[in-house]
Amino acid sequence: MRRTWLFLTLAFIEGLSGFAQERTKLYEKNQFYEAELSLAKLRGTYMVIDLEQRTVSLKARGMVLRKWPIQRTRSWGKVVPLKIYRMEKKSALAQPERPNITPGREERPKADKEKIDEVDLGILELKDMPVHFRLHFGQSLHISVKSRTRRFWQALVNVGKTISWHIFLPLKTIWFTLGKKTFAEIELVMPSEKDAQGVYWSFLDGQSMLIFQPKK
Amino acid sequence: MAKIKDWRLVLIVLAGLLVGLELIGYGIEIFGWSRKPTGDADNTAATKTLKEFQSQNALLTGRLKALATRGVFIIIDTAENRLYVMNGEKVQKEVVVSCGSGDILEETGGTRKWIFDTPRGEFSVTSKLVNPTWIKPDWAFIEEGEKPPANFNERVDNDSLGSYALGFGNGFFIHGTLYTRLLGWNVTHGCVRAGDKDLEEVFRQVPMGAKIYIY
Repeated sequence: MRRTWLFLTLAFIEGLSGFAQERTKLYEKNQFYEAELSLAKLRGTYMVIDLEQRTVSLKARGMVLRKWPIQRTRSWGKVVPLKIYRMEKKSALAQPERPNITPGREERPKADKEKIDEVDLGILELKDMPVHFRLHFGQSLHISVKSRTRRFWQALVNVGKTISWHIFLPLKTIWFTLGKKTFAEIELVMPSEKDAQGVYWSFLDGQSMLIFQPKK
Repeated sequence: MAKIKDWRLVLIVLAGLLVGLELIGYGIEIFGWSRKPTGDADNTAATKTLKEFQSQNALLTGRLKALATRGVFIIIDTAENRLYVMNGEKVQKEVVVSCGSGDILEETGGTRKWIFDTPRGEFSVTSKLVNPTWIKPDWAFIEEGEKPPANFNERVDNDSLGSYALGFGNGFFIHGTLYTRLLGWNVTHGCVRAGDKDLEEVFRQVPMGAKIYIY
């Protein structure tokens, strides 16, 4: 009899806890939708990083124009408050450079007959984008994006970043805690180089971004 | 031998310090203030019932869906050089196109500079032209190493834009091309080039005022 009561009490507590969790989850999701509605009403595109679903989406008017999967994610610092962020800048060790046209020089083949695969078109393409970069949203939020890569220098950067993640960011956490300041550093690992490059290509300076990071 | 032992000790102490540092960092994250979000989400959440939240959720997702563009519209992926004619959520047609090269042209001895990007964002079809004429701007001459002509007639080009063009503002068009081998590459001066056959279909399917989303 006692066992049954104990079991029932535990089941009741578990049920209550699940109920509260469900309510908090819905509350957070609704807050997120309200923020997205304010963006979707405006003209133009915006980015949504959903850390629960592990996706980065480029959206307009609530429609998904393009979606990239995130393989894994981790973070240091504060849970990112739900608000609209504007991207200030992108930074990468090797930023892609725009080619300059020399006036009067034949820059690219103009006839159909020419074999374009054998000619350097001198253009900025998706494959020229970095696979490891940081997106800056003011002082308090930085997002690192990387992917597994076979490129030597990028792989070296990834190793450096891993070391920094385990030494520099714990130090930063302690330092900011003592100084009563806030910061959030999020790392997104994309499944392929092309996904990381696609995110770099699509994130524009000044672009609006929403991030959904449910409480742990 | 003593030296090796010393080094080992240094390495062990260093590793211990690093692990300790990371543990302190995690400790602060888990037990400290740093993972607490701003605002009192829990308090607000406690004042409403689950049912209220569920109905609010359905209302908000409905509102978001209602904002989506209806009817026929265009999406252009400048990274992959693809144009999609959409009808609601359905892809009606996929076309290989050419978008902006991202190149920079500077006028020799001048102050003018052009960046050949396809503009990104939300636009509308503002004009639909059959057998369009291109009035060559200054950069088209400067790029060729020529001086822009004073005579207007020298700027008129009836061939380069193909048979159809859809304008989307600021002199940008989705138009035909003579250089079909370059479709699929970022080679244009900002306009979107498509093959004549594909463009003809796009021209017929997309009405004036239709939305164009470029990313």
